[in-house]
Amino acid sequence: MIDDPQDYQELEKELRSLRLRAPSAALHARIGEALAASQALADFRALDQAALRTAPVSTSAEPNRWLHWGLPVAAALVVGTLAFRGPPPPPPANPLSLPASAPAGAAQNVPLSSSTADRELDLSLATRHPGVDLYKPVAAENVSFGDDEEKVITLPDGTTARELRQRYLDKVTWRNPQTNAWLTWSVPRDEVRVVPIRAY
Amino acid sequence: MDSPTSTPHHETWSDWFHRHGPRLLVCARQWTRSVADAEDVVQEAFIRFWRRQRSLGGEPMGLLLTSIRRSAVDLARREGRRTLREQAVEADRHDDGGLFEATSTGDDRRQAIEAALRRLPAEQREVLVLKIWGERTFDQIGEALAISPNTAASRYRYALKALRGELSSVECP
Repeated sequence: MIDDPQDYQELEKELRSLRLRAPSAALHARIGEALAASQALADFRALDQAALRTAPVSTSAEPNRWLHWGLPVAAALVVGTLAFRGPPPPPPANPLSLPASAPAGAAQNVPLSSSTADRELDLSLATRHPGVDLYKPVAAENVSFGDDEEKVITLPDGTTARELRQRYLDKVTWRNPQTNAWLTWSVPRDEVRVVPIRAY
Repeated sequence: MDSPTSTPHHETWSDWFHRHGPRLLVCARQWTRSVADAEDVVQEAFIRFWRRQRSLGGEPMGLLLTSIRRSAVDLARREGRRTLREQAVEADRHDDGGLFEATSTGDDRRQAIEAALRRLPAEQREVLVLKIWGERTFDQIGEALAISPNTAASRYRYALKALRGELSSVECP
């Protein structure tokens, strides 16, 4: 006997009338947090792109390397703070005033140029975009805090080696020429290096 | 009922999810072994959709259901289960909550429907769920499950027939 589709219309209607179980409030909250974090990251990137587009071309390769490295990490700090609501990152040192001198122990401080042409560019930008804050990267530095020998290990090929932990603090600084506000992101970093021990 | 094909460009994500989330969840339950896993894959798929896919065009529910099924396959693989079929079998054994909200009246009938749905073969139940609550056409179901529309229609009819048989025997013991 061939089933008549009409026979099932009542059953289909009854099934559709059932009220589906709603997703939990916890799921709703998790989605909200994830979307808020990604929106914050998108906003940060937009700000960063605007700043980099208007930044003067650097004559040194070093700052570009640190900027490409430091900015995503800095953004990750923002995202981490918003998404997980953990303790905020340490506040930037002297954010609203010029730093008196380079931090003690600085191994490499690479300022961008601050020529007359740059100052004229800043004024021109401020005139063309009144009210728009433009943070420009002005310095990137990498401070070494020394290294500790952790332990002696044996590599898979039988060689004896030393495990060295080197500690760094990477800092990227932006300045808003319109407001003279400063933003500094500091990111601690450890590198573990394995150095074979050679017996002579 | 709002169309599942309405584009979410002018709504907040919360409003859109509030309206369509239950449909996404009931479909995800067909491919996962628990409510918690179903919510995880819905979360992953919805975030991906809202961040990147909704501006691409395409029908939102179709995109989401494909994404949910894919996430469920990935989850099964990560947890060492070979197929979605195995997930569905585990879900049948691991009853952690109904598909529907309890009602103040006629709840016996709701429970009977839930029980009858659980006894359906997994491949029939997933087609039924996608058709009735996912509001998919047989063409769309066929595309989502990599089966022909005729196979989808056939499984759907068998599911309805089996369901009616089960519910009839409950009514007239």
